[in-house]
Amino acid sequence: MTNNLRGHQGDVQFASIQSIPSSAKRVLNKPIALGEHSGHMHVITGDVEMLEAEGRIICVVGPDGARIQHVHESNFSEKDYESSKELPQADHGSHLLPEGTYEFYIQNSYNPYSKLMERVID
Amino acid sequence: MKLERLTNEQEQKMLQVRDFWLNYIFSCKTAINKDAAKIGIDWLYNSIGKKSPVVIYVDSPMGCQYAVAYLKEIIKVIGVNSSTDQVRAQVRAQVVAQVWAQVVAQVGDQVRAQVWDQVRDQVRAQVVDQVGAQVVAQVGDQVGVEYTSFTGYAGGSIYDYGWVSFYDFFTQVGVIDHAGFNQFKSVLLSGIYDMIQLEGFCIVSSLPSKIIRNAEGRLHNPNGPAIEFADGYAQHYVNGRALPSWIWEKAAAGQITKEMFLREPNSEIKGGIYEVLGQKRMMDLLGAIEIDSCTITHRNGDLETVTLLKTSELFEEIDGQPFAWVKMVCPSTGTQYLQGVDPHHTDALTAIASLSPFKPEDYSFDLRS
Repeated sequence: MTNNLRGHQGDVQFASIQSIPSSAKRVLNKPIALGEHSGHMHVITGDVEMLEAEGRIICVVGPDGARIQHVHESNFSEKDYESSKELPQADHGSHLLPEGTYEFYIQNSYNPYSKLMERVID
Repeated sequence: MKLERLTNEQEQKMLQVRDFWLNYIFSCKTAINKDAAKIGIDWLYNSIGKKSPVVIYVDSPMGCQYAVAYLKEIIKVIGVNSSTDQVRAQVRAQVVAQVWAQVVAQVGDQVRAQVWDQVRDQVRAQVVDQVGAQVVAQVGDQVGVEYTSFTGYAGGSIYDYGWVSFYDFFTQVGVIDHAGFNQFKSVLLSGIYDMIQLEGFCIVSSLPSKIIRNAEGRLHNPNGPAIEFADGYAQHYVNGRALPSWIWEKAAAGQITKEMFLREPNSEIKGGIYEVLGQKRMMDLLGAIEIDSCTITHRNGDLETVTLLKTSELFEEIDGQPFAWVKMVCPSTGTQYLQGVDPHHTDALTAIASLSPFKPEDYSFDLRS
């Protein structure tokens, strides 16, 4: 288990966490972030379970590890979720995550008109 | 015995029903089935004692307005009457009231509230409030006085998705089986977006061919129209706010100048220009000065230089503050990125950390790309 690992891939950031929120529910693995027009996406593949809790994305990585990758949708199919094998990279390099629990975040941008933090769109 | 608690399977079904109705419009892949639409429209008209109308199919709600104008001109029918109110009243009395009574009789308060909240409210909020109501308001503004006579918002359109999704769930789990409701649902599932229901004529619009929304489900596209129909009719939105298309046209043509931006009296339009141009072009437009710069030594040994920039001018519409950005470099592509930050920041590290869940002292990464 790796404590306190922090990472940054494009506009996605992630950090290891110590516990899973009690409200977290298992969901099917899906892109962590999708580019609006680029066709790019950040995905996590390999020995991993994805959970959601009130809009938060949490991934539990098993002993075989999982890889966070930035790929183009044309180079990705559902079966790719099963393996941590590196896929053709879109813009950002991939990272192999050791066993542990991680939370993923999308970088924000401040809108001075709404005075709100808005998610960065690729 | 009343249904007092949903099973796991029923809860899953609830989400499936909600997603079905959301996907029906937001997939933008649903073509109109004219045979099914005709059957449904005839049923609606016959239910209020009217003869089956001539159905005219168009691609957009604006197309419906043009069709009404042509009808009035070509046929020279004076005082073409709308049947919309009668249709809605009939549906309310003969369908909605009856299925509501059945659900109340067979479903406990808690389950009713749960399904209302998770199906009806969510479908209504996303489809009716964020799309339907917005589009009809814009069409009304663009058509002007003539619009008040021939509005859309028909009985048998996307404006019904909310309540129909609620009763659709209870139909699918076997609580109700109401012939009138099933027939009404078929009207919606023929792919109708909206109608103008006149005596003798019914003008039908297809569903949109493109819808782009932000993470909150509001119509939003800084790169072009947020909603488009197959005939080319389109509307532009930023974060759910309709804005004139000239913002996008001038931005694409490079015709937005600093003077134009500063002179613009409407703060919503200025906000739209800000979104459409994007951070870099805004900064280039307004000019910015460096306030602070720092070099972060990341835990993996990478060095990252982050710069805080602000405009020297202050802007009334943002509380007399400057625009502010942090500039950073992507380690993978070498591209410089600018992200907007709260203008109250005075140092680059705090500013960039504010865009993440990390405190400034924790803003350091083991893995970067």
